Amino acid sequence: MLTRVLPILCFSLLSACAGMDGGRGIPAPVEDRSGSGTAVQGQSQSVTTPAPAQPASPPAARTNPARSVVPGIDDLPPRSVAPGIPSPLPAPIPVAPAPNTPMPAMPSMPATPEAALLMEVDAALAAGDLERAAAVAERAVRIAPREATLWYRLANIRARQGRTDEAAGIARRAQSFAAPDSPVARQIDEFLRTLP
Amino acid sequence: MNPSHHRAQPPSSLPRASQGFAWVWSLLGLAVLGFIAWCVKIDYEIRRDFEALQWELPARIYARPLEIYAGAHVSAAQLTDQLRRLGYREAGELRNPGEFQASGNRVSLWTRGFEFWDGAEPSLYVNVEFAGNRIREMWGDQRTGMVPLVRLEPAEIALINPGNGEDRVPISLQDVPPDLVEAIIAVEDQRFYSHFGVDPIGILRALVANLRAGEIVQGGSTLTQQLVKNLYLNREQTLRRKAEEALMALALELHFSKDEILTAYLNEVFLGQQGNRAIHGFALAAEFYFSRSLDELSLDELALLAGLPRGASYYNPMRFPERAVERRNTVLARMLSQGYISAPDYEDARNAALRVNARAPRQNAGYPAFMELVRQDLARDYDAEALRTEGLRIFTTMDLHVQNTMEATLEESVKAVERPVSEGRLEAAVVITDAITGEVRAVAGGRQRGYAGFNRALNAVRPIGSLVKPAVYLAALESGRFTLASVLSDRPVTLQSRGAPAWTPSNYDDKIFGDVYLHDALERSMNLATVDLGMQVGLDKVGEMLTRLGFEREVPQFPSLLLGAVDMAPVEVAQLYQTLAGNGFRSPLRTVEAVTTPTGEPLERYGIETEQVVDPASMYLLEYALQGVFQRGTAESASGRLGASLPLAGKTGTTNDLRDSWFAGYGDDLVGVVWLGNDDNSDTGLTGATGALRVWTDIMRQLDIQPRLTIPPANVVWQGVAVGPVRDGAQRDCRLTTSLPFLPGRLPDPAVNCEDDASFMGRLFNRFGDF
Repeated sequence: MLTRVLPILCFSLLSACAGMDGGRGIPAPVEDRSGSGTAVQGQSQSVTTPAPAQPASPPAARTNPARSVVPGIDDLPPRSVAPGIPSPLPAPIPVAPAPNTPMPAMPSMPATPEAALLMEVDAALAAGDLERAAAVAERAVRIAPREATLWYRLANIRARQGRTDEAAGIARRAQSFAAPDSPVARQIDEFLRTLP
Repeated sequence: MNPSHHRAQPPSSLPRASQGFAWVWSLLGLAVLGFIAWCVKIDYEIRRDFEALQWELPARIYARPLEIYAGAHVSAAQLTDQLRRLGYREAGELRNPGEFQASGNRVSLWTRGFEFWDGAEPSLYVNVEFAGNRIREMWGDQRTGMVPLVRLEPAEIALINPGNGEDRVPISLQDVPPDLVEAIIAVEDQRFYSHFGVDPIGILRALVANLRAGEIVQGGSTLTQQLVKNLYLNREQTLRRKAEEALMALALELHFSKDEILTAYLNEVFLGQQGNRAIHGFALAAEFYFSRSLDELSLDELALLAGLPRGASYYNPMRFPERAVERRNTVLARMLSQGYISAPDYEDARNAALRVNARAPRQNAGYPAFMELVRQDLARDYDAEALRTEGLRIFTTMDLHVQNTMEATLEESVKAVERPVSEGRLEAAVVITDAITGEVRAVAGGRQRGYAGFNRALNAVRPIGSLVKPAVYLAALESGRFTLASVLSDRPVTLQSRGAPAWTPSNYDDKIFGDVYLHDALERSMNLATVDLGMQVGLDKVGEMLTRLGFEREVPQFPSLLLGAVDMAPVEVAQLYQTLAGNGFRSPLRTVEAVTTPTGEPLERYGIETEQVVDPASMYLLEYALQGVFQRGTAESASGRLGASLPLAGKTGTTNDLRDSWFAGYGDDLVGVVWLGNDDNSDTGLTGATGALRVWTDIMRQLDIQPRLTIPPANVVWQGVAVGPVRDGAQRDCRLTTSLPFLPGRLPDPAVNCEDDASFMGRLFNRFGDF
């Protein structure tokens, strides 16, 4: 017994004497309270301004995702103004579609972000992961918040999850973005009718 | 032996010598037994503690990730800002994830990828081209081809720390670059793989070196010993304690593998301090010092980290770059002499410039007002203990660009409107939400950036003044008894209600407008006309409307309610206006989108909810007037500065004696509520229009708020009404008309309708307009 214990004791004492403190070892975290200090960075960062990277393949032509431009309220009224008398309303303020710079017309490609996300929704549904499908559908909704079909898709998923109250609210929101009497509007009507 | 003790022994019949001898032996036996018991206890303790070794991990709070796709409302500056914040490095040629390159309208980047709650985002190389404030197009490289969209990893905006202040990002051994492991072994414990917990050779060498130097210049403790020491950091450092530590190190080696011990060391070791946050482990240290992940670091950077365990404060590269470089080079030299690196590698790394963060990334102190709202939301599902210890990842709805832009604008803007000038007393609160989903994008609880005191956005519960009026008018329009062209009476009245003193309201400047159109009364915020309308509609209906719009507390049912004698916090006002911006669809304000485990497995998700609470047609009529506020009403002064963002909708609010200056307004993308006032509730000298509206405009201009493009419901018709509101058809003057939206069955009163049977042509024209 003694033979087993003694070396251990010796090492223990030895190592204790070898000075684990004193600049050595891991300082207690209280050691310095201003760690986020100032200073640094003796040498300059070498920032070169390179020639713009040429894409390995020619840039794929791409257009903006289709955005249905809807007129502002003031664009709408066909002003029936008594002949010869100027309207007291201010002239309608032209509403530019969002981008400040005109976009060159390019052939449209199918791979819009929404389309890509809808494929992901399908994949999640196929895998039976409804909540993931809902999450991805919401991501699509954030990107194109006025697309009735995306909201409708989300409503469908909620209905499949049995969350019918949420499904109804979302479907009505979808309906508010659908063109009246469009196929999607009719689908949503039908969907709302069949919700328990 | 203590002589006095000896003397105290009772006399014995045994011979003295043998008696002493037995005494020594029995004492020694006892000591051995005690020592064995001690060993067993220590062995038990270290095994128990190491097996159960589970660090308390702070919850990490993230802002919403930036989505990059063609058409996104993101400028090149916004993207590069975000990349820098995420620690992306500007490089001449993109070779690794976490690098980018910007020139003019083009930004190329290699994303890092991230484990989101809805799946893994891959690491991708993309080129992004901008046109103004939008992304024009995006494409990948030969391998990835078309890339429809990319999500950057989310920026960390806060931590909820465990009580001990320790922060770390646990990492497994296979994810640690071999260079780092070699560097640590080379400099801390060369014989790590051959010793059994303590290293006698190392100790002797250290002893000799220390004796020679006459002071402690070298330590002989192994990584295992250092780990033990770190695990029991709070205990005193006595000789006994050190013996215990050595024993524990031996016990550790007996029961656990070298890899297990090394992994624990890599995660446990203390490597820096920021305020009351202790940086532990190498994965977090990489983020802390370099804003990059461990696997992105080069040899020189890894060597720098490997040098820190000896004295993280003394060698702190942010404060003492020379010392840190010297230490790094010592590490590199040891690596070279022990054959871990080649001479050319050594030379390169030794000469590499130190490129650490100038300052530690902002933590916790960053966004206290937003974080308070996050904590409130989380408190519903998570207790404080879980948040402090389980390393949850919390994905919030904060938009860093919106939050930072708002904060950067707010202070100057408040200063500019304050009267008397620059007293610094005027306080502010701002809430900005997404107009569609109700997700909170930004919150300010005071005028000062990052202000952490009284959070006025949540807790300054003040009368909302005229901000209440849309609820009054919406209740009226929805009742079917009123149209935008209803004629209201803007004349002095005195109202008597039970349990309250008589009330004699007046207009802001004591003007009396007489007969006015309903839309005009809202646009120009006429108090007397609003009281006239509200009393006809009924206080209960107005109260009910506030509840439907999302106000959750009880509404006081006094006539003064009609002019905003109801107290709300800015965040509550934001909920009301979010419902208006959502065209009558209420979506509860949210700050948390998802919660995952430290490894990314989803725990909870808080999805978009929306419920229709007002019919869209009534909403459309109301919005006509709320857009009129900018075009003809109390916010007209701002319309010049908002230019291309118009039309927008909003409402000013001012309370008695100019105590509160409010503005709430929205475009297609954002809803913003601004409150200005003094904490002691004194006169600010500001109306909603001269104070909060100007601040709101400054912020929304910076954010490039998008115009309202509200789709009119199918059944809306436009009709001309006489410009002058009259109650008697005989006085109707149709020479000047205004075209207003109406609903079928709720057409203007004949007294003002200029499209009666006589103007058949006009009706026909109207029909055409619908097509």
